[in-house]
Amino acid sequence: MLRRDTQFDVRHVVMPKLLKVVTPEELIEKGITICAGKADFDDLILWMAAANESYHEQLMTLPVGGFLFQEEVTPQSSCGAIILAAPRDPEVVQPGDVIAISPDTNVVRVVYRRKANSNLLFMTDRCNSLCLMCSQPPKDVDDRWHVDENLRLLDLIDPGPEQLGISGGEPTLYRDGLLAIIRHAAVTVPEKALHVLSNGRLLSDSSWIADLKTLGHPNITWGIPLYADNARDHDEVVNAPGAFAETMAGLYNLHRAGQQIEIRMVLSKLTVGRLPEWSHFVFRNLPFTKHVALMGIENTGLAKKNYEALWIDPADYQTQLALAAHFLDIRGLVVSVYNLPLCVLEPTLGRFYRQSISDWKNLFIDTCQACSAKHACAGFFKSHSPRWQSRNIHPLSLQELETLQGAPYEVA
Amino acid sequence: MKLLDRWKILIGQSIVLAPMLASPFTEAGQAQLAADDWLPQPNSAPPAFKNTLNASDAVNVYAAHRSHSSHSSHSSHYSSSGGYSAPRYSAPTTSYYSAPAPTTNVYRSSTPSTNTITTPHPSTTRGAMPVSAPVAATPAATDVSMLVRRVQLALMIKKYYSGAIDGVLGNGTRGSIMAFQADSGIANSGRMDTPTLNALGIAIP
Repeated sequence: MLRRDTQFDVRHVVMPKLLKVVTPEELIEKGITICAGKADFDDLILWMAAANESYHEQLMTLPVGGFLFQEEVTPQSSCGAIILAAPRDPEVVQPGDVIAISPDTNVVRVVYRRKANSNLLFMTDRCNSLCLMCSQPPKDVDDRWHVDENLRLLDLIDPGPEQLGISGGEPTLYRDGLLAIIRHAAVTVPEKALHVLSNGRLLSDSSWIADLKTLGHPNITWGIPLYADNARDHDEVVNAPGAFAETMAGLYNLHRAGQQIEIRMVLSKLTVGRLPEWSHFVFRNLPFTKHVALMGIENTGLAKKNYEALWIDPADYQTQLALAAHFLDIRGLVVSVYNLPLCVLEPTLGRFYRQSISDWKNLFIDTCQACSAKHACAGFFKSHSPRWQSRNIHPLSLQELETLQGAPYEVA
Repeated sequence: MKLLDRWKILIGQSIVLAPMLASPFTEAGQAQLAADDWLPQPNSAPPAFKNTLNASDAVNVYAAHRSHSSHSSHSSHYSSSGGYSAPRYSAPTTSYYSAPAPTTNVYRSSTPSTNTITTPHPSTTRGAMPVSAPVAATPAATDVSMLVRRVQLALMIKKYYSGAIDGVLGNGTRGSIMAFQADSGIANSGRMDTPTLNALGIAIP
């Protein structure tokens, strides 16, 4: 699991900036086309490998935005370009990544990672709900600058197909910014699939429909959580009265606007009780759903505080989970199970299972070392603790893998 | 029955039934109060609830072999409303990071000389970074000089060139190109032609 930021010795940074990390070899081969959109050499930071030290001096005459050294560097007064040197964690920033630097700090953030299996456009820390299991507790700040950063980021990332998440907080809080980002992505990187995570409440305003219809993005999905088949239970989970009604209205508006919808469910003590009824509700009232995601809970953020209300051993809800998943599956909805360790899963659910935990936030425990399914398992969240561990965690033998139905190599 | 009694019954029943006449206006019901033009509101009708049980093109799930992907019968047959087209939102040309860091000004005023880069530099300044930079800001000359730089870099790594990476196709650079071409069996032109660029591993553009 790899951090997303680290400290560097930073020199000559005068304004906040995004930079694309590029090796000399890549610069030779691709030039500025290494970036997907409009970029120029000032947006590049050259990766100065120790092996190339003999021509570092010549490299530093290149008109790139800066130079990145893995070891310490003696200050050279002749060069005014940005210098990043001596990272505390040298694995964090790698060629192909896009980093964010700022004059007020020596922390360098990786906002896009070439080798990650999921990259995210972070929209805002604000949210209009306060879910009991929120993994990203909201802050009341004016962070509109994320919009501009993401617009710039779309120009600097690698071209090529991948899935980009758009999340926060609540992305729809910056309505114009969100629409601008989606439109810019449709123009700059149309080969990348967008996955917007939103509670959908603000989409209950039907003026969104016309805007969404003109988005013109070839591949975008809206992931909207629905935690119950009734308002009382849903509003209790999201800690916002009226949320269920707003979300349902938002879902219908999304459908009117021709958008693809994914319904998300977080499995906790508050939600598994009526899981079969919920699946029935989704089928009857939201039959246009393209995907249903049933997700294990992440022990981070507000979930830690609400342990008593939320925690239920996954082994105790496998029956309801199977009922809900098979109910939807047989009726033609695509179902996935995320964020659970493979060993606690009911065997018939194998084919819905996805390795869903991002590689920068997953880990395995000691028991997993003897497991034959580690390559196919999502593992645990980095925030995992024994309190949140199922009693059924055990290494899977090859025989158990055989009875687990479905392809073990499918990835989220 | 006497006529007066009939009249009393008639009037009595009318009084009882009168509230019923106003009932359509008491419900906030499905039938919306129409706008002045009496046209239906296109965006407020309920979406179609076609599912695998009642859609006319639904696949018989018991007969067909279930595939992994969802059935297209779920897509709404709801007709789109024409007429209104939202104006295209173009990416804002404001500089990104509109929240300026307070230390920026201090940095600028105390050490103005380090703001400029001593190396030759294209026209973009270190000030506002426009998101939608116009294409005209990168003239063709800069593209060529960038390509020359990439060639010089490649030749340097291959040990054919040891001069400055300055983007200028001077005698030293040309000589190195010719030496590389001779060693690689390419026509000795001294120019950055396609076979030479391919051999150096430079993708065009």
